[in-house]
Amino acid sequence: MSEITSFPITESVNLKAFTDSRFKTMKIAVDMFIPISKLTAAQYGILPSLVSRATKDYPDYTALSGRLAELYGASLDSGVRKMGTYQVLSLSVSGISSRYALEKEDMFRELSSLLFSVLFDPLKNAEGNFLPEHFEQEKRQLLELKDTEFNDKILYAHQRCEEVMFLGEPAGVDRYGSKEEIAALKLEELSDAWDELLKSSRYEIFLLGDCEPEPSLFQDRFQNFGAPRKLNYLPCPSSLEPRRVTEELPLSQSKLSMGFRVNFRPEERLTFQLMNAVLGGTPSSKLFRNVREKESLCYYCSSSFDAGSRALYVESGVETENLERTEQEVLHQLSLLQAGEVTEEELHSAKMALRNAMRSVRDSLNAVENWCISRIFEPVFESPEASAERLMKVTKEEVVSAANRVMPAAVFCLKGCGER
Amino acid sequence: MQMEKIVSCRAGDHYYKIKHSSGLLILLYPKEHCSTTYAVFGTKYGSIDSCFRRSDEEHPETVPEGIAHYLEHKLFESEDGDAFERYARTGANANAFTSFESTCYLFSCADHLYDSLEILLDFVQSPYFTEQSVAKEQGIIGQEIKMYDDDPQWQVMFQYLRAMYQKHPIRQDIAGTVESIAKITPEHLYRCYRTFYNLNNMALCIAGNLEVEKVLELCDRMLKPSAPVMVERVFEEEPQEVLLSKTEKQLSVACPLFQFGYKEAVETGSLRSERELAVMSVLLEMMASDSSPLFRRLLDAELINEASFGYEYFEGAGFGTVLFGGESKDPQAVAAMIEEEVCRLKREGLDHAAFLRAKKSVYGENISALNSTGSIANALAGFTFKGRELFSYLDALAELELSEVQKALNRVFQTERTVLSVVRPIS
Repeated sequence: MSEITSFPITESVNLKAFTDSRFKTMKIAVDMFIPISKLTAAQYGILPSLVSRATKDYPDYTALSGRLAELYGASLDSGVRKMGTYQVLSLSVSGISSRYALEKEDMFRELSSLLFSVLFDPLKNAEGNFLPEHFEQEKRQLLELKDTEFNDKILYAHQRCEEVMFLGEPAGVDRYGSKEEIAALKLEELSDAWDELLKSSRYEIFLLGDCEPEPSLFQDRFQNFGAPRKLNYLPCPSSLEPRRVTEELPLSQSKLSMGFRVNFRPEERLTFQLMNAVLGGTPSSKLFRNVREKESLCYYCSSSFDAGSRALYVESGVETENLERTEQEVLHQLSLLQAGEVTEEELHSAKMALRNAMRSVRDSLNAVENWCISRIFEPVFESPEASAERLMKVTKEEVVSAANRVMPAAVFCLKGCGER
Repeated sequence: MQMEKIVSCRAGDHYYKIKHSSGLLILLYPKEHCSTTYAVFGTKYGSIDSCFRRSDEEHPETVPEGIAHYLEHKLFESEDGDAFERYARTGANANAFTSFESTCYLFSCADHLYDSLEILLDFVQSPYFTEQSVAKEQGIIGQEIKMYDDDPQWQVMFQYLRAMYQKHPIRQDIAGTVESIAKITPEHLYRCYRTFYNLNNMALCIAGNLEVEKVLELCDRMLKPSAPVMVERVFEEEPQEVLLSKTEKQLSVACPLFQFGYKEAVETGSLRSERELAVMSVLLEMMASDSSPLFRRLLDAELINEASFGYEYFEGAGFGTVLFGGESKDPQAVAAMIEEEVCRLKREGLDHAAFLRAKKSVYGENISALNSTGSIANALAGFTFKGRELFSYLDALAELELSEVQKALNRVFQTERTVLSVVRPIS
């Protein structure tokens, strides 16, 4: 089985390769980490999609898309996410491996040169700005994305809960900035912002799938970019006052989103991940078996662990009149776990489910990338298999003690009211 | 037991097709170097099968909406506990889904394959329904239905289907309604189970790190031979005309969502071949993908966004429609622009360079899909239940001629058979 191999390029640029000819595809990704701030979130947030709209060789969207289609439906993707107090900006290319290319194209060369051109030589006009029509197009689409996020009520409730929990903190800043901040963006400032971003990010580069890793190619290109930055988990307060916000909308079903902050040391992360699985991460968890199966209160009730933000969320969709009862039942299940009421079977089931997920990581290029990215704050990189092995040794006492460090921080209720 | 090896030189892969003596069709796609295995045990029984006739009975029978989906939920419970609890011991990631035409039970695992497979084969063959357990599920499925009531994408799609089809049961919600599920009894569940969960009507598809011999040994031990009963789906004849050309409703959304498309004239109950499917994939890629002139015009007119715009050839037994959907401030204008493009392409003919590009793109996407054990197993099941074969589809794509694509455009895209479905913000 192939390994995930690290090639440090500079103090601020790290490359990881996971290459294996059993894949029929390859992926090259560049992830840039930058501290998130209200001042720059919108500026940085628009840049990945703006720089990847067109290139000098393929100067408009249709020409670039046509080229990607010719390269057997290859894709050039951009993305923005938030991890703790960092904005993570991604650019990636993926496509089929060269051995499936009907006209013997060297897919790795083709795809990496596309990626380099958007990163280091994006299309600009005579004034040195990105093209105004591309800027307007991206701005409009980002504003519309905000509407899309409201349309999906499960996502909307989750985002509101996060906002309430981290109110006034960098972790509460939206990954794209607010609607107003996006609307106020100025084209003239973006070219410099891109240069600043290239200069001051921490980079994680990935070469994945059926390709020949050529770290030297990347060494040359990234030598002079980036700033060394020690990346850390979001600090967790020692005590806090829980917040509660309720909104009403004309919906059939109400949504409950509960946020908790969890104070763990980096080496304890795995224990907290396991505690989350016991509480609500699997169909054999306390929340699924009790809130859904025993009480028939809902179709879904699950918990998720956001390590980067040292946060845990519990989410469910219920009848409006059952909102309070569901919240009480969730807290009751948590208190049982805190009191040590967890059977060997519950613990074992959670371990087996997590181990299965970890041992499955190597079958998907995206899963490998996510595994590495989500462990960016760890002092030492641990492979999925090594984590799986360590997981099996975590004791019940450690899980119970972790549960006792879960602090209620926010409740967001989206109350469905009346006829639609 | 008959075994056939099916090979694709294009993909460099192969799989085995086995007709087991119990009546079950088994498809095994070995990928030795994968760390996971993905198994799907499914029946050709979905939400559109609310009227059927068994080969050992004279008359057809109609049952309440939502039974296939209700059965999916209830099959996880058996006399000695629930299947999730059993899977919890092997660590497999298990799930199930009901679609319009099939119900599938699945798991993915990195180890303990044969233990998990035994659980899968056992619980799907062991129905156990009581008044009490059926009643308990109403709260859970009721909330699932309500979740979809608030989901604008789901709503814009079903509103579209209900406007397009006059008789076809594709109009019905997969989970049924809160009212229809209240009528479901253990007797209904047993009756539908015994009709559709006959192994002759089912398939087991597994892709990944598996040993063919071992899987077959387990099947020999676990499969309970079924009586050779066949089941016929009964459909009313569907008129070629749509019911309504425009339909809309208001929901709690921040921008309008739309679904616009054309109703294909198909014979009652009929299915499309691999080749017909390949033709439509390439045609849609040419017409509306990111590199098409239509997409560019829509984007420049600020009528769509990349994140939400999409298109699909949606087809099955006795239905077929090409649809375009997404979010737009002006759905009517989007529909008009698509219509205009259809007329232009019919008049001027499809472009040869775009055809070659589209073929390459669709080919690449299909090769890529063969990376994942999950997408392979699901594709094998989906193709099988529609009477198609996976590698023949890849071959059909490679052999396609532009003239076939042009013909499909002229045949399927009929202006008088369009529907525009819109979900708007509450005014």
